Amino acid sequence: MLYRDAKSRIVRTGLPLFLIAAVLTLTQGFAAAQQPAKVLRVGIFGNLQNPRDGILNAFRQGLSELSYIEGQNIILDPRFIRRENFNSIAADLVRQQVDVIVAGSYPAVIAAMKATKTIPIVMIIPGDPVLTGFVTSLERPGGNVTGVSGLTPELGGKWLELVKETVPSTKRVAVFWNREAENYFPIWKSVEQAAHALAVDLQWLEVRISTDTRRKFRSAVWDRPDAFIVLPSYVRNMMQEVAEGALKNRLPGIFWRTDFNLDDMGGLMAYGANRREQSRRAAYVVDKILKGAKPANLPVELPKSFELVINLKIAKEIGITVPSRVLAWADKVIK
Amino acid sequence: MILDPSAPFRTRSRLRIFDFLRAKVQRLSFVRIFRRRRRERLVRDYFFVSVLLIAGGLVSAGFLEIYFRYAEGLEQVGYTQQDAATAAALRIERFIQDVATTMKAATKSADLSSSRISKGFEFELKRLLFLAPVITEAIALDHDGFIRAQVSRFRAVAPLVGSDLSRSAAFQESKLGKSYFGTVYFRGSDPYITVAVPIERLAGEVVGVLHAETSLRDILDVVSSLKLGSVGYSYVITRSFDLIAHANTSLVLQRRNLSQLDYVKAAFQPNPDASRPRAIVAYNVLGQKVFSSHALVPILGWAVFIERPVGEAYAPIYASLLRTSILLLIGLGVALLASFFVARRVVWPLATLRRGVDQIGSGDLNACLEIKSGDEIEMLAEAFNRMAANLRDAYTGLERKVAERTQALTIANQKLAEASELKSQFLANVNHELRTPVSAILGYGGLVLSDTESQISAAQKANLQDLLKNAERLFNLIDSLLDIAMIEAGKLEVQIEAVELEEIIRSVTSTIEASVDKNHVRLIRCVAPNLPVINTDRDKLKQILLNLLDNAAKFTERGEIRISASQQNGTLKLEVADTGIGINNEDLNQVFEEFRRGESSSIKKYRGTGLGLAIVKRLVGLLGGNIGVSSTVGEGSIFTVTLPMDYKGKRLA
Repeated sequence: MLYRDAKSRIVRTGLPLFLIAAVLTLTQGFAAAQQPAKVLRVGIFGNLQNPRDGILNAFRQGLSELSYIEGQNIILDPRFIRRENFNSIAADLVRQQVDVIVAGSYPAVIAAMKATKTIPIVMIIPGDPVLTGFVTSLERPGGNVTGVSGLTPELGGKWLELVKETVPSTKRVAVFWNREAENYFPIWKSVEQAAHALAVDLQWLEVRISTDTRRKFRSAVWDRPDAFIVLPSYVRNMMQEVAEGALKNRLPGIFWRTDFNLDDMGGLMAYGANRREQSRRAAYVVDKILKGAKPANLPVELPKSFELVINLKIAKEIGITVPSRVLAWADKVIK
Repeated sequence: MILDPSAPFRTRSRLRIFDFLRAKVQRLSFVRIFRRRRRERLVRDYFFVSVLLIAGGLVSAGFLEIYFRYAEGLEQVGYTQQDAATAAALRIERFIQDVATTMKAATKSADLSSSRISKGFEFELKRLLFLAPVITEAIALDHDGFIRAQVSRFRAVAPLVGSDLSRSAAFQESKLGKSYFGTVYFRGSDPYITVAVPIERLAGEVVGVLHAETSLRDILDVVSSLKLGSVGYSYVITRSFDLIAHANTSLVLQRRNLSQLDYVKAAFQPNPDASRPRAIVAYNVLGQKVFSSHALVPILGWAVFIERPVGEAYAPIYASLLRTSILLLIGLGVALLASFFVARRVVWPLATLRRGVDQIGSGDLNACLEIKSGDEIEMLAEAFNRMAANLRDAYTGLERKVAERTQALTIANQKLAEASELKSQFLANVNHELRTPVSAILGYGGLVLSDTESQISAAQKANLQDLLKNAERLFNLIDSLLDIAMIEAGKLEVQIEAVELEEIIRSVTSTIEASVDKNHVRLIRCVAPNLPVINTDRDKLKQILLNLLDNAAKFTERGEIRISASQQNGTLKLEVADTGIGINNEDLNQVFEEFRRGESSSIKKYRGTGLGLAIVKRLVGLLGGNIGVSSTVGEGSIFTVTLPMDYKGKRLA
């Protein structure tokens, strides 16, 4: 009886001490349990979906080079539903609170910028982001947008060189340009320098609005150019109309964007940034952002990798033979 | 707790809560244990000794463990960082070596006939661009250092053909058959390096130099995106301390030069000391205290640094230390709890034993200890219980014996009482049977003497008087015996009445005067004035005084006999004092017993039955009083009787 009293006292004394110990152990256990690493979410939309291009896969490859494993430490949320409004996609991605938005076209970047001022936006665009007002400068974008651009100012000379290589007899080249674009992205300088070195005369044709294109082409033909090049501009349908005019007048020429379908458009050749490579590089930009870099301080990357597309059907139609030393290095040949 | 009624309710309730908590805490058994008296602190002492031993052992082991973990943790951090830096440096080196190898491969041609580099080399250059995506431009220089062919991914290069590059370091070095790696330069935000390799027609026969602008962006991106922990970072500097890659791109864009950082400078100094720490603590370019490790890329003369803020690098060590400390504390707690439990396990049975002993000490022999500890204490408790059982048995036996003896005694007493009764009856009967003939002898003897007084001779008369005197003694003796027997048989009745003491005393003194030698003995009456009338038995009081005075007269040959009466403390005090022979001390105790007379020869010469004082004592007892005696041999005796003034006692048995 007395002994039982003693036992109950032990229970009374021991229990609080034991509970304290147990609580400490459990707390420690929980603290020690490794906190699950945050799974990062990347929303993707805008003109990246064509499997033939392999652009999205290049982005995935870039992520895997950086040790991201989709589904484990990163989740990609691609939104490529046809006819869906970019604005609603962007708004939804913001609602989902993704960590980064990857925007693959101009309208996509605009929609994303409209939807958020805080979530970093990584753009993959063919042209100049300064010109479109996406960033304040290439080196210091300043806002929540950065990414990769397909333009480099010296590329103008390369186009001229390629035209000259393709049609070595070229003496006179018509250059379609847009003053507004040039203000932001002075590409004409490299064209002029190259023309001088290659002994080519240039015929500058300024296109201000969409309807100018046809008219300018007619006046160009009047001057009898041997070929043409098209500098970047954002005049609607400019490339399409130049291509049509060129075909009509059997003029060889080069376009600056390789992602336009030369076959449909009727263009002879195009030389520009490799979009797959751009997409792969975009993964590196995303990585830097996910690791804490501010988009405002991340320079917009300019292309290092370019691709040459040659449309032999058009060559045949306009009656030129593409030299094999040019053809040999074409990344894509349309027959 | 005294509450000020005016105090706000909140204060009062707070005080109440405080009191409640204090009471709770004090009631906790372990608190009470530590507040025990000095003699009852075995649990506490045991507990403290355990604390000292266990805690001492655990704490010293724990501290050693913590120290070694700390040292090993630091070493581990160094290893991890150093390994990461070395891996990054190797990656850069392999990258640049791959570029050089690819370039060398591009210079190989099936056509060995011409030793001149011509414009036709453009094809090889284009192939090079195709093979090595990181090369953006390639130039073929002829043996004299003139540009013979050039290709670019993004610009027209025709104007440059024919330029003289013979003085360039790239040409100078490569012409000697070695690969050349230039310094890093920037195009916009992109780092580039010039790589040049000799163009050899046959092994060792240099016919020109292949010169390539190589983009470092990819490789530096990979390296600078290396991350150790959550905030660790890496960067690459050239031998001229220019920052060419950093996780923080803006630092690279600012074209930072880190020559002001001593530890960065030290990285390029040859250090043969193999014991150099793998990671050092330093302040980085932003002034943060970091753990820095590096590895060199010897071929390029670069260094790859991997740094972690000290706080983060230490975090796993601290976490480990914290874990160890907490485990240590828990272990300590459990050990102390266990020792506490053991202490109680030992001490509580002891306390139980003590209580059992107390219980038996207080006379409760039914104490039984129920201790089931399964150890020596339990054995002790069992022994204790056996002892208690034996005690109980012994005690019960003793009580039975006492009862038996008491019963035997009672029976003996009864028999004794019966014998005494029989004796009394016998005495009464005998006395009666003796008294009648003796009174006849006295009566007739007196008649004979008075009738023959003048007719018998003097000798006959003397004989006759002797006869009468002896008969009277016999008669008195029988009377006394009768009195004693009556008293002992309980047949003597007390008749209370108002008695004037003075009259009684006068009566008895006059009665006794006849037997006192007036020439030598003075009989003195000394009655206190104003003595009230007392209620008592007149005859018995008279007999008490007569017997005492007769006794005094008997043993007093000269001097005085004094009888005095006074009132003392509400009782009557009667005193009979004489100047007789006195009683020695041995006899004093027996003077009131029947048939007892002094043993001394001096007493024997006096007549007497030895019943007088025995009768007096009984009569005094009948009247509710006491008698006492004091005496000195040769000086006299004093008998003192005290009686109640107003005796209301019933008839006594």
